[in-house]
Amino acid sequence: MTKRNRRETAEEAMLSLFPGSAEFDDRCREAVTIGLTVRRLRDERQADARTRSIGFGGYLNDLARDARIAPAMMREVLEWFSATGTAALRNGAQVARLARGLDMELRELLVRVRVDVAEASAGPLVALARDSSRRPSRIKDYEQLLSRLHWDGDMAKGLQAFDRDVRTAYADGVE
Amino acid sequence: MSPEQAARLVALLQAQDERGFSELLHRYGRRFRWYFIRCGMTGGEAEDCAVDLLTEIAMNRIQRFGGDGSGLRSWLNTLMRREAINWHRRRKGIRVEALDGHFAHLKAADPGEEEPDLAISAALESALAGLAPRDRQLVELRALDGLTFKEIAAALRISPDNAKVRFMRLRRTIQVTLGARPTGDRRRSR
Repeated sequence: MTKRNRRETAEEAMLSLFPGSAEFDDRCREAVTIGLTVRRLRDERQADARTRSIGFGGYLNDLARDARIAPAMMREVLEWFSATGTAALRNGAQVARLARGLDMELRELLVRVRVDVAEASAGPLVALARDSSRRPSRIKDYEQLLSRLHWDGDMAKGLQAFDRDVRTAYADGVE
Repeated sequence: MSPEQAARLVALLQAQDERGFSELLHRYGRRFRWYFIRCGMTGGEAEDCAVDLLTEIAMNRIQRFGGDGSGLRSWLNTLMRREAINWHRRRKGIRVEALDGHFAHLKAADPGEEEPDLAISAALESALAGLAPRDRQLVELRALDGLTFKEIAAALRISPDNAKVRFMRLRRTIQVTLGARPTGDRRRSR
């Protein structure tokens, strides 16, 4: 028996002694399914330039619709990355992982999430847009609109913490 | 895994073929977990990191893998190492670069490429604590030294079949002790 064979035998025995929790294999399979679904979303995002919602949540749902991903599956993806509704703000690192999986730049993510937050609080962007000379259509336009908003104390702190977590996650992800 | 098999696996993974991912899970899922335990994580933390890494691989990493099949294993080792470093950095709030040196001994992350280290010994020590000396010896000969059942039989003066049966029984005992689903038990816990 060669040294390599001995190592492989020992490794197999060791792995069999510590097989992991009962749920581990199921979680691994789910991880792959989620990862592949995000890849389909990314492919859809790169495939065409259809008009889609600007807010993060709406944008993802539009992508899922166009990629023909079932709503139940999409809910699983959002829950996996803790990116459902306002919970997204408390989970910047996870939301950043999802956005990076979509090849979304940091700036775009920050704008899309802020649009969600702004529109959830009585839709101030709608009023701002009405005052504008033209309807905002690009991330850059929304970035300008958002810069005119005043966030109250708690929301401002929440957004700052979110920004920090997202920026850290993006920096970690640089290869 | 032969170079041809590895190249086929890479092709399946990059084509988003579920058969490729099934094989990846079969070959590497538990190895990922085991590696993270060796890096100092608890079982639960190691599973979380393994699951995160698999998500990343399926989501985008595999598309960036530019090598042929022969480079797959070392590429996966690099990803594991990077994941472990990030985990330690997040936990301790220190820079990734500062940790690089600390993981030099794990560069050959593949458990088959280096001798069992102290972390393995510690984990095994805990698992074997309740076994009789002779049972413990049998498990160590198999899991640390990689002896065949025939060699174990000769060392312990028992038959090879008996060595095998006893190892299976002890494995089950250890798994139950550790709270894992025993091998061969198909029941789902949820």
